[in-house]
Amino acid sequence: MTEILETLRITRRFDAAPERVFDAWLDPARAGRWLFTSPTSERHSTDLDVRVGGKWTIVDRRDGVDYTARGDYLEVDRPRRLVFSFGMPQFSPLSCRVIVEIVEIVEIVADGRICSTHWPRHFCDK
Amino acid sequence: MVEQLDTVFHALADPTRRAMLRSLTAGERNIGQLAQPFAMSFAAASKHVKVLEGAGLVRRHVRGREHVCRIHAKPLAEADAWLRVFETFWNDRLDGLDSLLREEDEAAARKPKGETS
Repeated sequence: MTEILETLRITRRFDAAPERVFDAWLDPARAGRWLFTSPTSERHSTDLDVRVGGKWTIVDRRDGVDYTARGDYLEVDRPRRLVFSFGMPQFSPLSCRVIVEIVEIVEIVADGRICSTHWPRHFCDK
Repeated sequence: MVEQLDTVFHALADPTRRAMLRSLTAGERNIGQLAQPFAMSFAAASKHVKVLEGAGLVRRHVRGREHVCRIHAKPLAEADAWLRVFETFWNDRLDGLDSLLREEDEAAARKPKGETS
């Protein structure tokens, strides 16, 4: 057996609740504004069957050419973890696996209260 | 190119083979020396070396009765270049996600208080 090789890990910090970040990958209206698209794209379609085993297809037209990205949802665990396969068949028959892990960042502020970075201040743990 | 990268990543997917490659960065090693830290048989080590060889990461020379291995780093550089393309690709996507979240925040801030979406 070969272990899964993690070939690339990117970490980003967003100033938003985990649910909002998670849903931005799966809500077609919101995903259609950033996922596999660019500000210069001419036409965009987002078809997401969000459930384990469901398929997703995003077609983006740039300079008159349609670029299709597609894959399957493998894990959907809102708002912590999303795993899907991702391939662009016109470039390669291979697909890779994308693992999105959302970790809530908790910061301890000077007076000892514990805050989640994206909660309003008055929700801080006393 | 894609197929070769596949064999490179497959070769790198095994921790024993990664350790062998690391050891080869210090210089030539024979199969016995490569096997030694893992308490594995000559045959098992030879099998790992064969995978590394197949991916073009290791070159093996026969010197008398000895098989001497040397690292060949070019495929590693190609694999790295390929990863950088993907890194740029995903960083661009995540910049887009960041912009979306900011735009949503700004839209929410503009909305008069009490109004629901």
